[in-house]
Amino acid sequence: MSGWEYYAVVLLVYFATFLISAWGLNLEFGVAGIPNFAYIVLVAAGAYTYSVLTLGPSSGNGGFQRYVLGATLPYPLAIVCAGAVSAVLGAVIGITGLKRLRPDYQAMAMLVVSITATTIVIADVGLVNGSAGLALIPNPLHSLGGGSRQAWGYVGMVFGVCALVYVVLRRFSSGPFGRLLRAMRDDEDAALAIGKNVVALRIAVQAVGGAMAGLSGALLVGFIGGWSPSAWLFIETMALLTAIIVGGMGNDWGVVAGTLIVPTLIVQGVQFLPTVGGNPELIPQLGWMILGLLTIAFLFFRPSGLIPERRPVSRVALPAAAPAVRTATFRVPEARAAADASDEILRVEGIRREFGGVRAVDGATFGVARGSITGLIGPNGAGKSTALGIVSGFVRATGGSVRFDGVDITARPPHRRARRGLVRTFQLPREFGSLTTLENLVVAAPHARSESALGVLGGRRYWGREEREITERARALLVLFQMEDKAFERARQLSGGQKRMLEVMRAVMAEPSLLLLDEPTAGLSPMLTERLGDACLELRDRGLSILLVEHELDTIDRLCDTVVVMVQGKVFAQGAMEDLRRSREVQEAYIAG
Amino acid sequence: MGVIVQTIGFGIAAGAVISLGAVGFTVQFGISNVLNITYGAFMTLAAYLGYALLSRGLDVWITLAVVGLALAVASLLFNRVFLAPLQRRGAGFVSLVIGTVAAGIILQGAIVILVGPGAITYGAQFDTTVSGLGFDFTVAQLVIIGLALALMLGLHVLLTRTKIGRAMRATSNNPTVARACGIRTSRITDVTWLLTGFLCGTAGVALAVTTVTFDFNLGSTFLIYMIAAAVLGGIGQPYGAMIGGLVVGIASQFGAAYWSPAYQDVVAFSILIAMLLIRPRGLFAAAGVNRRNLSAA
Amino acid sequence: MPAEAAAPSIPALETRGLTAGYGDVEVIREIDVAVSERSLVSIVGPNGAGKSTLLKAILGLANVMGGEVVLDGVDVTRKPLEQLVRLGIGYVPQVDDIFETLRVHENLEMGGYLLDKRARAERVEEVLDIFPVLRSHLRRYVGTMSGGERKMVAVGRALMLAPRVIVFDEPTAGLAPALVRSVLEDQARALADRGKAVLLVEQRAHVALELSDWAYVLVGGRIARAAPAAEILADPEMGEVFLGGSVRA
Repeated sequence: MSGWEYYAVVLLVYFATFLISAWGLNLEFGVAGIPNFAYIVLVAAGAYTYSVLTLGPSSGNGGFQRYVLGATLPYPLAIVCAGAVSAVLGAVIGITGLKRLRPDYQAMAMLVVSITATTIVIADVGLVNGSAGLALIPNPLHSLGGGSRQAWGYVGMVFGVCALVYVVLRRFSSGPFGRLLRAMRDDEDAALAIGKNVVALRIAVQAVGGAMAGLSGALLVGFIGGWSPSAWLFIETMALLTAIIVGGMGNDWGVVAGTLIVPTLIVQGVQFLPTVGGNPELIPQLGWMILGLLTIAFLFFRPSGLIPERRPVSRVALPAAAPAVRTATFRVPEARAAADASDEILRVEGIRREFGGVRAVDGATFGVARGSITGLIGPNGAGKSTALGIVSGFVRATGGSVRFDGVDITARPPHRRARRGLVRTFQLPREFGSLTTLENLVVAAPHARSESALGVLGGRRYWGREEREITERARALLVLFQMEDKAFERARQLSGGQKRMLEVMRAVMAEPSLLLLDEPTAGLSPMLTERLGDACLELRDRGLSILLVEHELDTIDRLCDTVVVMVQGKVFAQGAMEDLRRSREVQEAYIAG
Repeated sequence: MGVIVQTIGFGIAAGAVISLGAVGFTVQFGISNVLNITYGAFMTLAAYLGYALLSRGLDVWITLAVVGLALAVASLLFNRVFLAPLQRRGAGFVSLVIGTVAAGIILQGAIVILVGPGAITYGAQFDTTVSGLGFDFTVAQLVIIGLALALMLGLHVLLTRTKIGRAMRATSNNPTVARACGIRTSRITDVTWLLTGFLCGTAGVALAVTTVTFDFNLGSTFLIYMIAAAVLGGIGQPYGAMIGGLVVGIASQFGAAYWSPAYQDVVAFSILIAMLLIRPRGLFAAAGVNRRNLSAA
Repeated sequence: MPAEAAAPSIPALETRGLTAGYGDVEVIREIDVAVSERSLVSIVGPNGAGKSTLLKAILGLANVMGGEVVLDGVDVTRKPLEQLVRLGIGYVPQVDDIFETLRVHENLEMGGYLLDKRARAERVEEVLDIFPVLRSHLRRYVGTMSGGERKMVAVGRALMLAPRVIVFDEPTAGLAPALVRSVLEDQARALADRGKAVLLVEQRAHVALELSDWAYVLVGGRIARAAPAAEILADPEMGEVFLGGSVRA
């Protein structure tokens, strides 16, 4: 085999294996927003797994390298195991992300994990032979006999795996599931509030990404025949990140472009240049420096990459006239058979929460009658937002209980409460910025087929019809709120008032039986406020219960059946607005606060 | 007992250097709200510069001053030319970290190309030991501990007693309101970068002197020690970093003594990861700590 | 009650044909506003009209593309905030208006950063005379105080340099209804009565107009109306103009 032929084979194999891992990292980071800076460890895990499953016992190798296991499994099985091990490892690493740290802290933690892994592997020589690494790792195609046939056979194999991976990848990175991941990336809390199990999603994504890393590692090491810590230093993750940034974050074809340029041409291609002068590190270091410069250049001048994440095209044709909007739009779930027959959909008893010594909520007790609009008012610092946070599950109470629809949900996480029908909005609009207005609503539909494991496997055939139905409902909602002309605009480009309306619409799409609105009219013009109020009244008439935190007394007057007054963390009074208004004590408490 | 005391002694010596570096890192975070990973590469630069000057016979105090100054200017330029403009363009948190990693790669690459990848053995020269109270310190270690103490004290005085110090605290607390008080925040930011660059420089020289052998990876590894110290003490808080440095230093020396020298790093890494998992705001968070430093929002 | 019913005569602060925004995007165009001493001027208008941008443009916090900002007859266009503060402007930002992790007295003292020790101590006393409630809270961390108290600290901090002009950006944002009136009365209106030129951007137009001498209605980045506040309040058409506005605003 000629030098040039060998050169080509190497680049092709490296390209394909890098592409698989770049796709995996892009799925985790570009699409789902998980900054997994320890990704290369997953690649290494795959490589090592394949190695120790095919090398055979260490003694049989002349005993010069030590490692665990040492089986001789059939090659396809070893490769699959590599993917599986990395998938599990990915999920495990994913669990550390649960802390909901700021993303750069997460990234840094992953960076440290990566370096720690390298250190441990180097120190514990019995594991996989320390810094010397493993050698003589068998090539899965060695039965083709070295030379051209084996080499090009390998190229065919890895590209075949690439194609397979692509098919699977698309199920996750595009379509409704991709939309769900992007929503989670844009705003995790908002995703929780509409019932998405963010934790499970993250673990799933990291398992899939991990599997891809493991496959990539196994295929790479099967070709190279050797693997040591120097091949998977943290800087390799940087190479993949650069590929993604340069090519286009969140875009699978962008990643192809990026992988072509970065890991293949720059890092690997550069290795083939003749060494100049006496410094053997010159060329590789130059390669890394070019990579660093590319990263910085793109971060400055084109952060979305060469091929940016594309604006999705809606496939749903716009009907000529708005459908029977009123009946089709809102679906209020049947009241679940309540364990206690009380007519209260929400009962809060003695909830407490401190922040750094200050009692934000100090034993508050109140209820929301089923099918009513209940206002929650009070002076600033009275604890309304904290109370709302406790009811919705975003703030943990240090005492007291929350009963929803007869069930004690005090310990339930926010997304579970949302799935039961307790949906909240936020004080500052939290739209899914990279999604269109329409997509923001569609993604909120609960129990969608497209979001289940079956949905990912089954594809459009399984969820296509439901998706159309959901889209119709979403469009009807837009018509009602007079925002249909914004349907295909990215949510981050909407005005403040529009975002706020979107927030409420999205919450309604999640089919709540109790809607928690956190100061929804703040910053809204009176016209919008009126429109919002109309919608709330309509929803109430159809059976939806609403708990409304508000400052605007006009809104409260107009909408609320009863009002709960909170002062200094406690419920001061509860009753009809007119009565409370007249009460001297309420007036004083309000003013004094 | 002797081993314990000796280990503590090593820990204090190591901790002094970690503290120096960690304070610079944490104050940079306080003013810029960015985890500046390039800091590690800057320390490597300082170590190499220090070695270059010391091995040519330059007096150690002058070396410290020269390298400190060089790093001060370099850090100022780094913020002016790179970090601040990137932030102005609206780069997100993770993008900024990626950017600083990339800058570190470039800097480190330049060092390797210029100086070569070989390891440098220098620290062994300062071997004369001084004993007392059961501790054995080399002269170099004593000097560094003293230096660290002096610089920490100086920083404390600066922050609490001087006008500039108060302006620095205000600026890192709330830049807009600081400006509304008449504080020239851009100037204060410059001063902060000069100051932290200087600390980075002195820490780098100290590192070169106390590490027996080092290569271009010096700063990257040591960075994690410093970040561990900073996070332990509460990121953004100089006093926390000082104490954090000591804790990390002693803990890692115990790791080396009782576990294995190879695992010395792992101890520091574990402290950092544990803190991030359990209590990211650090052990000594101030009352009403600035939420922007922590939560994912 | 409002004193003048005529246009502000000798403006302490004014803008002439001010056009500004962020980056390349123009948000406000050809804005002429003026505030004279001893008066409270409000800028009201629908969400997204550019009220905050106008303030930021005056204070050097936004990109000025055209026009001028004049302080006591001196052109201060595009001067940075810290310089304007030295020239006699006080600024109370919206919501994020104090040093969270510091105590009340530290906040006030930081407001007097430019003063020497003696002057600073004197000013603290004078500010405490204006807001006596704060006397008993001097050592409290502001993070633990309620909305109304924090706003008091913020205003007190701005008053430390005895500015002639004070700019408020939506001071009642996030405060309960009862506080709205008291903040606007005891802080904005009272300062005007003491002789300051007070410029106020407010979402809660009604109360602001009741207390102001003069008002500008900002819609879609332009001045829709400039008149005595009482006139605007009484005009039913104005209700349409600025209290309305569609989702497309």
